[in-house]
Amino acid sequence: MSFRNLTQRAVSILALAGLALPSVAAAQTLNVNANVRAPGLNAEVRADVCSKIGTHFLDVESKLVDLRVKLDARSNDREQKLEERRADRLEKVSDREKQSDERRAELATKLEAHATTDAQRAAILKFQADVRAAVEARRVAYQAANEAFRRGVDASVTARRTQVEASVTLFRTSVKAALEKAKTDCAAGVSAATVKANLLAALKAARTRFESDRKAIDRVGTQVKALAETRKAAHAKAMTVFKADMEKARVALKAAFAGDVK
Amino acid sequence: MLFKANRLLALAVMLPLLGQGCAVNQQAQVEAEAKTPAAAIDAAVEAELNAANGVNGEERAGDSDADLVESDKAELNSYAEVEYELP
Repeated sequence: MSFRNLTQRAVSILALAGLALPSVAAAQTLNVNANVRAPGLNAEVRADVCSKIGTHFLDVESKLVDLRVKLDARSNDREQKLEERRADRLEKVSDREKQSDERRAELATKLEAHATTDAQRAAILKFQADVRAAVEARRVAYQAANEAFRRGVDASVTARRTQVEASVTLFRTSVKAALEKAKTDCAAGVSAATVKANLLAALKAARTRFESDRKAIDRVGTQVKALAETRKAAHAKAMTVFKADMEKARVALKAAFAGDVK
Repeated sequence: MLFKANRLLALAVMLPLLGQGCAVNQQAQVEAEAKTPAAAIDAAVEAELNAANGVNGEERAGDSDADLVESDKAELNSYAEVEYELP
C-alpha cells in the first residue's frame, strides 16, 4: 500500500466519523431526556392510582357498612319470626286440643248411652282411659321432639350468627387493611404496578378466606335440616303408635258390645 | 242491572237453604253417631284420629323453621358481590 492510498483511507474514515458522531451524540441526549421524563410519568400514574384508592376505599367501606346493617336486620328478623311462628303453632295446636276435648266429651255421652250392662260400662271406662293415655303419649312424644328441635334450631341460629359475625368482620378488616396498605404504599412512592398487584393479591386472599368461611356456615343449615327430619320422623312414629293404640281400643270396646255391635 | 238484582235475589234465597242444608247434614251425622254402639265407637275413634291429624298438620308448619336459619344467605352472599378491586 502506497502512502497516497493510506492518506485517502484516513481522510475517508475521518469524513465518515464526522457524519456519524453528531448522530450518536443526539441519540445520547434523547436517551437522557427519556430517563428524566419516565419518573415523572410514573409519579403521575401513581398519583392517579393513589387518588382512585382513596375514593374506592370510601366507597367500599360505605358498602360494607350498608351490608352489615342489612345482615343484622335480617338476623334480628329471623329470630323474631322464629318466635312468632312457635307462638302461633302453640296456639293453633292448643286450640285443636281444646276442640278435641269438647268433641271427646260429646261423643262419650253418646257412647255411654249405649251401655246396658256393667261390663259395657267398664269397657267404656277402659276405652276412655286408653284413649286418654294414647292422646297423652302422642302429645308427650310430639312435645319432646318439638323441644329437641327448638333447642337445635336455637343453637344453630346462635352458631350461625357467631360464625357470620366472625367471617364478615374478618373480611371487612382484611379488605380495609388491603386498601390501607395500598394507600400507605402509594404515599411512600411504591410503583403503581406494585401497589395494584399487592392490593389484588390481598383482596383475593380475603375473598378466598371468606368463601371458605361461608362453606362452613352453610354446614349449619344442613345440620338444622337434619334436625327437622328427625322431628318429622319422631312425629310420624308417635302417630303410628297412636293409630295402633286407637285401633286396639276400638277392637276392645267393640268386643265388649259384641252382641250389640252390628 | 236487572241481571245483577236477580243474582243477588238468588243468592239471598240460596244462602239460608245452604245453611239449613249444613244444619241438616250435621244433625244427620249426630244421629248416625248415636244410632248404634258400633257407630258411636267408630265416631269416637275417628274423632281422635282426625284431631291427631289436625295437630300433625299444624306441627308440619314447623318443619320450615329450619329454612329460616339460612334466611340471611342473600345478605351474606352480597359481601362477595361488591366490587372491591380498583375500577
